[in-house]
Amino acid sequence: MSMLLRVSNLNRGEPGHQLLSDISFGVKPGELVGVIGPNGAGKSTLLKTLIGYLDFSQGQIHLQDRSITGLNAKDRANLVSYLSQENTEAFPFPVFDIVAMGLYARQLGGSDQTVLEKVDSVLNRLQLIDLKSRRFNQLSGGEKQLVQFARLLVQDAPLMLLDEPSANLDIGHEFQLMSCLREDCDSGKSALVAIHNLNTAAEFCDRLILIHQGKILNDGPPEQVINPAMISDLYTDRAYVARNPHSGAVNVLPIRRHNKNRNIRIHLIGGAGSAVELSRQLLKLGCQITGGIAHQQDTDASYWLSQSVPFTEVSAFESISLNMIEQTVPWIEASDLTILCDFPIGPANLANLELASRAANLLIIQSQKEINRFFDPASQQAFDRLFIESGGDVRVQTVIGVDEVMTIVRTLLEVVE
Amino acid sequence: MLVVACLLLFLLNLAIGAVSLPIMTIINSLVDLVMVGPDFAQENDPRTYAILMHIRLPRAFAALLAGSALAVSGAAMQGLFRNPMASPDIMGISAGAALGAVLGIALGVAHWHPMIVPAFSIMGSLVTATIVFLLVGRAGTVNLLFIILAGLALSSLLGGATSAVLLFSQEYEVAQFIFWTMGGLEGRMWQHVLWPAPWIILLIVIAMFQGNALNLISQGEENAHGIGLNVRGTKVVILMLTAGLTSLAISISGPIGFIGLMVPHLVRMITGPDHRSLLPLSACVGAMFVLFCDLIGRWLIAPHEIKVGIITSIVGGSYFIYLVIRTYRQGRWL
Repeated sequence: MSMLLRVSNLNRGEPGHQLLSDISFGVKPGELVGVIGPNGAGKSTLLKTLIGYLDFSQGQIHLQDRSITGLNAKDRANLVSYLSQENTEAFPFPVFDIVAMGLYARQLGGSDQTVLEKVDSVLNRLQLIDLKSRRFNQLSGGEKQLVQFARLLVQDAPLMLLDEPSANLDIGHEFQLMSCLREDCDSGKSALVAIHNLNTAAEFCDRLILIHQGKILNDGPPEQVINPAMISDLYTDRAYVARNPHSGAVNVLPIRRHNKNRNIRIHLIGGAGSAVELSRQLLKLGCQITGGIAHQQDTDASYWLSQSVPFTEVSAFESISLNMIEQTVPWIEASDLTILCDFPIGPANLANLELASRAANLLIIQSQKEINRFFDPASQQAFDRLFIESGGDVRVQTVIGVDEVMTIVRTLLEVVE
Repeated sequence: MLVVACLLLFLLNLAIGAVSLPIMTIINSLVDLVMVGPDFAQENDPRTYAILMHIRLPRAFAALLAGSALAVSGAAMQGLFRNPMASPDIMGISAGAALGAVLGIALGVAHWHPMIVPAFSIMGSLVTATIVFLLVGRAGTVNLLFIILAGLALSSLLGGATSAVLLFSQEYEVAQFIFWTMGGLEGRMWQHVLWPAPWIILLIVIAMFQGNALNLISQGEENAHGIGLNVRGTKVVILMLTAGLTSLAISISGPIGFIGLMVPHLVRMITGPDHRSLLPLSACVGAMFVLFCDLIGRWLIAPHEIKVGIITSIVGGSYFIYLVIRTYRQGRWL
């Protein structure tokens, strides 16, 4: 298939101070390509060079097999449109006028009816028709951005270049804008979008081009480009690369690390995600926590893993062995408090109750949800036995939720410290 | 309506002055002049004809041309710089004209011919514009911030030179120069008006076709480029147009303050920012404003006159203070 955009060995700048070096790639019809990279990587410079706004020192840029240097401004604008990050608030034009400016290169010969129809159809598509006669300076930041996007759409070029189009947009409008681009690309156009939000990029783009210090580091499908090594090299070591469980797209999640500077140890017995919120609150408070026994890939286990909380785990669906219990007991004995979270109990994790019974100071979370916690009567009996068997120096206390636990922990902290 | 108002002001300008002429007499004389010929008009009413032909008509035309030239270049400059506070002498053109004028005066050649000072001033401003263009051309791209800085630096340089020349001048020469800087229309004769007229008209006509381009520039240079405008070409055209118009206007009337800044504002408040209407309306309103201010200047303390530059500055200054307060109250950029 012939390329809409073909860039070969593009260089900008002087030797020793290269803003772009040896950039080569192509964009096919129907492709939505994201340009990602940390701040200052050269994303904007690349886009401005591609539309011919900035000069380049070496290389070639072809739009539909025509060199960009040989195109006049209007012919170029009929092949490629561009949305910049500039402030566009110089004069308070009405929204309609701004969108209609996108038709400049079409030379419609002053047929007002055509202009009106084209502008209206784009405004309708973006649900901006109510703003049609409003003045630009009276719009919100997001509305302004969408109006500029409408101007880009009305230009109707086969290739669209956008520089951070969703910078001012809330998640809904960002979705709307990217969906529009996706639709247009599905009908044969292409777009090259410089974008900071990696999750949006992964969700909508067919391909990502990763730029750093003016060079292309990687070019491929989002799953290949966004990986833990890349994120920690270029962005931060405090992020976690996962899959969006709802869309399947690769996902980068920021993780806040906590100082574990409080002199209290707490062990959490959890499962099925019942310990996540409590673990988070305790870490925020600065407590040292341990966890287990959890099943592999359980939500609690994933959380503890990404927060580097020490915990014991068994393979998924495997029953907890005595061996595992003995391995975990030392942690419980070293803890000031052990908390049995509110998780469903069945044969596979029954041993966690055994573990709980070894605690000297046990807190049982028993929420008042009308859900049966117990897989079978045996599980229920084992749970009830916790209360009966506790005696002597073992303290058992039942609470309803996380807030109550936190109150108890804070009181305990005052005693301990 | 604007054209009618403009005509009316024009006629009033012809009528009012040290000697009042009835409007009907003026119209009769003008009709005679146009329909039959100058000889007939002169014979028919020699007094009216003399006052009109030698004093008031050239003066009114001078007001018309200077006003519209300054207003159009102001509107174009504000559009190009995407800043409603830009004015035509941002490139240092007024300073160049002033140095030219003071040289003409200080060299003692001013009294040889009434065209000496205008010729010197236009040379000064054109040389200044050329220097700015050369400086900017060196930089490769037409960077507007660079133009502002170059213009500022050049203004200060030329201002220093002007002061230095004044320091070595005779007292009456200094007075003559100060009078020139006030901007005025008195004593304007056909020779002052006729030669710049075709140029001003030509440049204004070219400027009228830049409305669409200026609209696009208002969306940012990068966006305008993306929409399909030849941004670099447009910038050069607009800068040359304003340099030319401002130089020509100053050669006619001296530096009349505030027209380039204020008139486009006024028009924008009435019709909105679309440069396709802003440019022609600014031309109209600019002409009217100078005609009006000249009228006031002649009428206020008749038979004496107040220079038109003083009136425009007072009116313009008050308007500007009002603008600042309004902008401040609304908490936004105009």
